[in-house]
Amino acid sequence: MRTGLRLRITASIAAVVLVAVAGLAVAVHLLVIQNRIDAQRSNADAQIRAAIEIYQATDLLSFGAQVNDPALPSRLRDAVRADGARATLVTGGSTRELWAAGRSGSTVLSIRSTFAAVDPGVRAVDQSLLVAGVATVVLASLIGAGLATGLSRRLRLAAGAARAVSRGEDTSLRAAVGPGHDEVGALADAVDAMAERLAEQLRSEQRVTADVAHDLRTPVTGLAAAASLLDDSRPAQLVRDRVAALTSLVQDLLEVARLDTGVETAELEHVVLPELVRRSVDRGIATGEYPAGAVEVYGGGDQVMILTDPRRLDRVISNLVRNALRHGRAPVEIDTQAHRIMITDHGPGFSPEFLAAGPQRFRQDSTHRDGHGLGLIIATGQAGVLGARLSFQNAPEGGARVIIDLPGSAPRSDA
Amino acid sequence: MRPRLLWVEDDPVIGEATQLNLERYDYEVEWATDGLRAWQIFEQHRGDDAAFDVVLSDIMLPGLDGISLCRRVRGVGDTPFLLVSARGDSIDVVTGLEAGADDYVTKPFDVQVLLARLRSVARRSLPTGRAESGAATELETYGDLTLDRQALELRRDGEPVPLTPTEMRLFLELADNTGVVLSRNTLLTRVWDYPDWADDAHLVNVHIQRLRAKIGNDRIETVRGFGYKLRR
Repeated sequence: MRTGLRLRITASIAAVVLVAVAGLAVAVHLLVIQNRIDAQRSNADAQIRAAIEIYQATDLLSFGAQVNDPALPSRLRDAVRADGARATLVTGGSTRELWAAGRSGSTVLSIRSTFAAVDPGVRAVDQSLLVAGVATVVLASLIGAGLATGLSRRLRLAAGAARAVSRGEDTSLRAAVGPGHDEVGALADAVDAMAERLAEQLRSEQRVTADVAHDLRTPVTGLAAAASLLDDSRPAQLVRDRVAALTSLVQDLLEVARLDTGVETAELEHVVLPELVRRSVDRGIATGEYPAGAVEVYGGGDQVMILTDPRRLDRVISNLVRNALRHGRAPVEIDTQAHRIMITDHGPGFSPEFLAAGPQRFRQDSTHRDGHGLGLIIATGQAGVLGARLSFQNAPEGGARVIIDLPGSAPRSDA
Repeated sequence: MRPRLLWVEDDPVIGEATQLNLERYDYEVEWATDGLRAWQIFEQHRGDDAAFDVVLSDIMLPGLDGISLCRRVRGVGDTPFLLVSARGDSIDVVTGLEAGADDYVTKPFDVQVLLARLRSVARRSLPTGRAESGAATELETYGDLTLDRQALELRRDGEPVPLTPTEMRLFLELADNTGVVLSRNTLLTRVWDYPDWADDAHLVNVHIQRLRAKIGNDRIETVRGFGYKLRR
């Protein structure tokens, strides 16, 4: 339907102009014929008058006049009942029959002639009408198409700009459609205002994240230091355990806040991808984040060397694996192929709402009960810095699957 | 003798709790709440019996920030210096390492991690005992560099090159494996005592830069995707 509007506007204009021109042409055609009949009538009237005068003066018939012609139509005969009366009558279709009659005493003189209703003169007029009409329709269609193209081009530009805005690019519909004060401009302004409101909402969410993270950092650091002074009693262990959870939450919030600012850049290095994946998993097991045997690494026969930021990629992988272990079920399988890493768990999979909306901060998949849900936000943010793409889906055999597609070309870097 | 530690932190709770923690692990802690005061205390004891063995400092401080403090401490000697950085702060930890810090921990930090970092930095500043005692060690040469392992002294064209203990450990590690490529991870494990799964680009990269600035750019070669090696 990209060209539908333009086509419809052009077709409408052409149809309206066509009807108007056709109506006008028919009217002109009929007028010309009528005019011609009137001229013939007045000519015949002059002839019959002259014929009567000559007849009265000389008793001679002139101009082909007949005396008391029995073929004279009765309507005309009735019309010239009075002495000295004259009348004309036109009958017939394409070939018209013209009668002119006049009375002189008891005698009725009449002249009969025929003529074609459409003669070359009329035909010439018709032809000019046709040419002018076609030219008018074509011209009107062209002008209409031009106007419609202008309109639909601006609408298409606006749609393109709207798509760019939704991809997160810094642009506006107003800039795309130009400075016009018409309906398209009004639409652009309205959409821009809406986008600005949404962006402001996002910024305020980001501000809250950053403020919370920075305000919590100092007290939580103090709390952690103080908690580690406690003895080894069970209550103290409980406190330390919760402090550790709080510390990790604050660290996650700080990471999200940093990613939000958009100042993060990738520090690129050449790494062997399967090796990096294996090291990331080893680290998770060594720190006790993943239970041993909960994560299985496959693939990696081809030791592809890629240019990426290994620490950020590790953050992406570890957040995805932690999320899979928390919300899905072990074993979590990691499959590495060329520039692609595929992480699949054996849980119930992502909910349709999550698949539709993607990861959102402070909002969790309805099936997820614990955890603050920042892991996927961090993974998405870090992947963004790497120029990698995350896609969330459900594996055909069940379980949630996240695919990391690393860029073939170099992502943005410090240099 | 208990190691003397200068602790610089403006937050009262973090300051006191960390001091108590460190004292429990046998450090003699002097706690300053602003950078200028810390510098005065450091200067006052420099060279005397109560000189500090290590400085542990926050980056964001009133008076004098942690990075400037580090620069001043580096200006007068090679006392090990650890930075406490806060993730998300505008002043980057890289700036701190370039100013001469030996290592860093990130807020909120785990006390055990902090202790491990302190132990590692202390170990580096002790004589390594690498050289066989008694045996007359030969001087080793690497291009225009001469290494005396016994005196732990490095000379470039005869001129002594002042290296911090961390830089010296890094150089020795590279020298022990001349011509062999050492990965960043290997260096982190051997020089900084990080766990073998750890990764940190800044720490190694900035120290390699600092070392190159002192011994010449070409001496240490970067092998892309693998690590670093020392050229003979």
